[in-house]
Amino acid sequence: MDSVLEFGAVSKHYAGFALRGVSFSVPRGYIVGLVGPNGAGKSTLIRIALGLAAPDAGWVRAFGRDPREGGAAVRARIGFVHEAPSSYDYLSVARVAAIVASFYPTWDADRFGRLVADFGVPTRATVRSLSRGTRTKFALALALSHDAELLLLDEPTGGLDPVFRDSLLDRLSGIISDGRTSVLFSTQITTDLERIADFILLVRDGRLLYSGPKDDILDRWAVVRAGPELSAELAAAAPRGLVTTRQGNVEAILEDIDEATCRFGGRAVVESATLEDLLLICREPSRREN
Amino acid sequence: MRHLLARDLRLLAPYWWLIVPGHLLWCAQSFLTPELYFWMSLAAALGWTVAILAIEWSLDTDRFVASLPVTRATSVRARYASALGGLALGALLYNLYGRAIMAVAGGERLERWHDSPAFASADGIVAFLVVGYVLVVGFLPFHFRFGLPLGASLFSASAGVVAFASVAVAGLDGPAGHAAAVSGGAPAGGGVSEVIRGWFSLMFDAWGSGVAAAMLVAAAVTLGLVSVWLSVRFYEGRDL
Repeated sequence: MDSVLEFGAVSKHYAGFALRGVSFSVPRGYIVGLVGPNGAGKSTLIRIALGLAAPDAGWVRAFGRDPREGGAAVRARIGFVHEAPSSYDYLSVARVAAIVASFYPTWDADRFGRLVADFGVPTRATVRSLSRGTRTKFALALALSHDAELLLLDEPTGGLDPVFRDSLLDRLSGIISDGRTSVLFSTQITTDLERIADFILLVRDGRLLYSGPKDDILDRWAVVRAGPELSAELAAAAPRGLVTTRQGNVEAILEDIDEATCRFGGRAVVESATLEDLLLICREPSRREN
Repeated sequence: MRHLLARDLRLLAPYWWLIVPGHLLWCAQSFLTPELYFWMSLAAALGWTVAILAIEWSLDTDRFVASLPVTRATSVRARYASALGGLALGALLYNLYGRAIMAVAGGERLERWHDSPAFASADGIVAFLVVGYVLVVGFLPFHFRFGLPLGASLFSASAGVVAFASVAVAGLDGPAGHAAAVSGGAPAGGGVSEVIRGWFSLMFDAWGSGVAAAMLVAAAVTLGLVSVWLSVRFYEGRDL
């Protein structure tokens, strides 16, 4: 499978946070969902992918090149939406778009015009006068107007109303249908990923806990809920350390629902896992570190 | 590069109407104290570059710009080109406004202007460009290493130390006195403008105009290249 973005054992250390040995790839023509609690490292991964931050160890390839060394040529093929989109806020939407457009040889002004009209972004308004959701829509319109082959979207659906989110997800699904464009999409709204993602990256505390097809999780993984007496047994059975205690009960993610049912069926509630289950368990402090 | 320079023009577009009257108003202050005209004009010329840096810093746009298809080295070079372009424009306004102010000034003030009409002479304009150039190439590496507020503070402190040390070691009287002797009058500006003009005179007298000019250009190019190299290294090493 042709990959447009690859991370190999990437580590990055900041005061109070570290990414450790993260490896994954984003195949061409697919949507990869990046999921994890706040502070897990999602934005750092996207910044490294864009070449905005350099890994301390490991390697990154975007379109086969180091994004820091490939620089302009690599980023010309990438559309981006940052978590808190900032630009020249005192300028009008049209002026900021003109600045951005001048950097992209493949800029499609007609497409940008259609997108801002569809998204309801007023082009004469200053960027600072836009609501958070409308700013995100503007950032999305910019990202989608230069024929990007890779979209790096950091929490693009945060602050968006459900109706627009729905149409955005449809649009992203449509964009990848050409088999050429890929999307790396970080979010905490797991229903968005369940709807459109082909692959999932699950990060927690700077570590990549899972990288693989979304359907493997939804079809095979189980969430097991039991009383505290099974705590040790579940902790030992959960291979990725996805175990937590809530209101006195233990919850764990196991990777084979059939095996989980055989082993714990009579003593615990065993259900198919959802991405929401993963995220909720990830949000709890890691037991291995406590 | 041209996209970045056009970007700078677009950033200032809402304030274009302010540049000519603002610059004039600022420089006209020196109608009262003509000895400050050199520095007021220089501050105005560099002020537009600092304004762009302040806009970018206050809006936190580094990440946004670095996400666009442009290398950081190009961003750095464009910033130098923009700052030096602003300096050249400032030198032109320094000359034009100086002549205009002198034309409308009269009596005692006119005499004071006649004592220090640096803006009306070629070496005065060169002194303006040299001081501005040194400030630009000195400041930008600090900016790209530490960001605007800290970089500006550290640069100001460093420049203060260098200026103080220069005065302590070399003294200002020699070149200034030489300038006064060359111009046949007291150096009424009494500041760096006259000192630099004095140094130029000393160099040109000692080495001849061709060699001195070549050495000045070589020194400026070397200083500029080192400054750009440092800025690129600093900026490329920063996580955004």
